[in-house]
Amino acid sequence: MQGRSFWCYSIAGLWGAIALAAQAHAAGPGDSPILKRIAARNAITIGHREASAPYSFIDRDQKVEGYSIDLCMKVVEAVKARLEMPSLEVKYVPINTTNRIALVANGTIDLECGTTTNTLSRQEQVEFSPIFYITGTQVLVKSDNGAREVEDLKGKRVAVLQGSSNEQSLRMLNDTEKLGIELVYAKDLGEGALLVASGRVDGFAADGGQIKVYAATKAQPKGTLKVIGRLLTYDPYSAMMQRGDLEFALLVKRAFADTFRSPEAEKLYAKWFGPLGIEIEPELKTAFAIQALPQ
Amino acid sequence: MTYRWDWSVLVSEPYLGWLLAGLGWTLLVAGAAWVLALAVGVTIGVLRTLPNRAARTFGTAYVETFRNIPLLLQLFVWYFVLPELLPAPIGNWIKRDLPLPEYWTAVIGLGLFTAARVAEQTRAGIQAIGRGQAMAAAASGLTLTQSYRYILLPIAARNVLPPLTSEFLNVVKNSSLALTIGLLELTGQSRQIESATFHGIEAFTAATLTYVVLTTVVIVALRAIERLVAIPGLMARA
Amino acid sequence: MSDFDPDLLSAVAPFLWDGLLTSFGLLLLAMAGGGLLGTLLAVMRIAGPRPIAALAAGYVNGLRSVPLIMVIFWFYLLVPLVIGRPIGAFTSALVAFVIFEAAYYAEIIRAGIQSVPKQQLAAALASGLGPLQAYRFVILPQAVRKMLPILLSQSIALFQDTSLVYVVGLHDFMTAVSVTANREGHLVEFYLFAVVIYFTLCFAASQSIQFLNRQPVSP
Repeated sequence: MQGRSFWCYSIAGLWGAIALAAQAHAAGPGDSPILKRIAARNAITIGHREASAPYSFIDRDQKVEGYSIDLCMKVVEAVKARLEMPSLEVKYVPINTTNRIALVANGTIDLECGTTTNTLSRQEQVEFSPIFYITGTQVLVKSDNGAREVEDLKGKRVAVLQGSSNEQSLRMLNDTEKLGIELVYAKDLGEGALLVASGRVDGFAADGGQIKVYAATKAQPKGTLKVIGRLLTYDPYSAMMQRGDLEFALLVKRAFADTFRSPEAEKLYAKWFGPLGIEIEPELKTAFAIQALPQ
Repeated sequence: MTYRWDWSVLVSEPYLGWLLAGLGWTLLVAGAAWVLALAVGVTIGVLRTLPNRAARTFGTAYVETFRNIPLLLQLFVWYFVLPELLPAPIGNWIKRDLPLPEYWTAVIGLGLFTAARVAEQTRAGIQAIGRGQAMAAAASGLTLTQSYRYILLPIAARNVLPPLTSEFLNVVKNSSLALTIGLLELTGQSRQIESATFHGIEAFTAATLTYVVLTTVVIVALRAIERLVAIPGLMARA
Repeated sequence: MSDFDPDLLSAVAPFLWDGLLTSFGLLLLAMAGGGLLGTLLAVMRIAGPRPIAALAAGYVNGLRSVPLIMVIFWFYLLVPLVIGRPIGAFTSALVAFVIFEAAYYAEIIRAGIQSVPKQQLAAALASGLGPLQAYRFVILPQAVRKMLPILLSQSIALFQDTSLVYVVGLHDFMTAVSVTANREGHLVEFYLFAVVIYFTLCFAASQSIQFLNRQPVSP
């Protein structure tokens, strides 16, 4: 047994050395089209959401901030190191649920850092980073609403974000359970929540994590909104990038794995969700651990 | 780049149905808004040319208000702001009980906006005739109503036909703004197909061609009318 | 919505101001580009040989058939795919406005030229002017006087149309207001604020046009 494990270690060591050597040599854009265009422009373009706090949003000082953005900055650091361009500029482009995939696919955006659910059909058009947040579709309603599940909103008006996975799940429920829910389309999280607050719709179906944050921080007056229902969908968030660029995808995966392996990921979570009183869920901790691939 | 073409998406269910539903909403919004715009617009336009000062002031106030605020913002005001400013029972009725609130908001918003433009064309059409005609009409013993009915409006109608063609096309095209308050007309449905299938180019091409066909029909018909009623002697190419 | 904090407006003012500047930038560049292209199209359509006139007519009618929102979407989302190179939101919106507005300017200019009595051209040509000179010195000056108010009104409409970049998230004034309104949860106050700003600007501009219009014009 002793001898066998010696061989294992030596082989692992050998591969490690090769990997290190390869890494050391892999400066510059290589044959990655995305890295090439980043190098050529001396700028990386990040797609961000405008009102999806605390994931990706513009604060009052017009700064783009959030949990997803901070994670993407780890990728930006890795790109800077790889291209040996420490003064690489970061450009921000605002996106929404209807244009985000097209903008990534057409190359306007190098890395999308928002609240996009990683789905297989989206993977036909774009590439995804490792998963950095896990949630599912729930419904935001007024606190005095007696509904407990989405089925209780049968025949009512419910807002969704156009093009979101929440919308697809509601359409499906409408078909299978004949709920007859009338869908009303909102542009962003704030607008959807205001539609509920102003009484124009009875509910707003969106990612549970996001609407919980909204109900906790933005409801006016406090405590007038609540989130109800089981998780209707499984929505794992990932960052998006253009499809078919293995080099860049690997760089992104590596940056995320490094972050997940270190305490940094949980620190970032605590930075953005701690003040809202939202603890990290065990599923997300497990996801971090599983995706913290070794070098 | 990495775009994957698939034109079959346009004729596959449910997407073909979405496009047709979108076309239906476009026609319904544009049709109702145009009726409203013509009725209100011609009235306001005539008011602005009357000798009565109060009538002119009212007409001017209407036109200036509706013409100097972007349509998109007007739609937002009708949709988001008005119900909050009205007394609660009426506001709640608009928000809760009015059937198809997005549709009626779009029709009212688009109709009243376009009315201001129609009014301006009507007024310009009447004033382009020149005071001579009106004076001649008055001198020959016609009343004000008669001079509008028999002299001014028939000539003005010819003058305003080309700009009114554009206004009608504008209504059809501006109905696309209804997507911003959640009504999925033709443009909205093509975005919807884009986000569901990621085949944006196909969906946008289909919608664009539909608009072209729709408006070509209108243009050809109205150009024919224009030629039919043209006043001889001006520089228009025969 | 009752607890509106007056300090909020000053906190977000720089963001809204940047938006207003973006709106003005779009307006001025689109006016210049659209005006040039529009004049070219109008002259092509009236004075050009048949195929050229048909080409210009096709352009004008084609563009006038499609909603501006659609044109903005095309340039924003799809053109980068075709040319294989991303273009920014501002550039794509600007190109869309130039291409789109040119069709409208062209129609106004054409109508202006055609409102000049035919005999004017005949007289100019008879007095020995070439066709270009006839347009330059006889037809266009009269046409411009007639169409100037409409051209300027169209530019006010263009300024209002710049609000449509809302659909691609370019931060013009309208979009900046909307983003702020939704983030702060004060739709009524912010949208009414935008109404006041747009109305003041556009009303002042249209009053100036009417003032210009009232100036005595040589008969």
